[in-house]
Amino acid sequence: MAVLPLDHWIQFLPQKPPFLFVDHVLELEPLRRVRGSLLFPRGHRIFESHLPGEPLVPGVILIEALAQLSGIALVGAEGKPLRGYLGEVTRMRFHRLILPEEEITLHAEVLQAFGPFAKFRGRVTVVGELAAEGELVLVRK
Amino acid sequence: MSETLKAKIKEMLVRQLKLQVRPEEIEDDSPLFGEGLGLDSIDVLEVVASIEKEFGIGIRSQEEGERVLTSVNGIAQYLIEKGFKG
Repeated sequence: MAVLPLDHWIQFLPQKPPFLFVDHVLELEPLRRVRGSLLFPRGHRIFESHLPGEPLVPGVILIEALAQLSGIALVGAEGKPLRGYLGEVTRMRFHRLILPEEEITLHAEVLQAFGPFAKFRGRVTVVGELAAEGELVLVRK
Repeated sequence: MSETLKAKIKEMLVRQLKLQVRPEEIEDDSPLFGEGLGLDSIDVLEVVASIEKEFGIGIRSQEEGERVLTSVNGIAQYLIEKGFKG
């Protein structure tokens, strides 16, 4: 997998494989927006159980991927990344199934930040088509 | 302190936070978070956004929020300090 210039931000996430769901960081405006990508190859072990005979990327994993990506946008003073914990998920809707080998683009945009809380609008697209969208709150500790 | 303003704040809280009480049942000095209205700490985002949208007055810092977002009285006092003429 090629390493893109912004990919070093991924190392600051507390999540590690196999529970890391951001492959690349494509765009980052700290505390404003971040865009990333993710792909589950055919034969990925997640498809052994989701679903047998009908491999689909789980919706709950898309939520986790959006939360992890949002965490990358939490950059504090002096450019240091901050750790955020998932506090709330609302208005999440899934519009399209995602299959193995489909390139998933993750988008997260800060809607509001106050104190330790940051609310994001998250979107998941596949070749420009909206696959999922919703809002989530990360809490800095 | 303006009873009309406090009634507006209570109506806003019930509507925006989908509280299962009637606005007139909220005590002026009842705590917003925890015991009292029972709001969760994450609800502060909705409260801050609602005050800004409804009254056009923002709460910029966490310190200011901790001082203001104590009760309906706390919010009303802050809005009056900021010159709200409702």
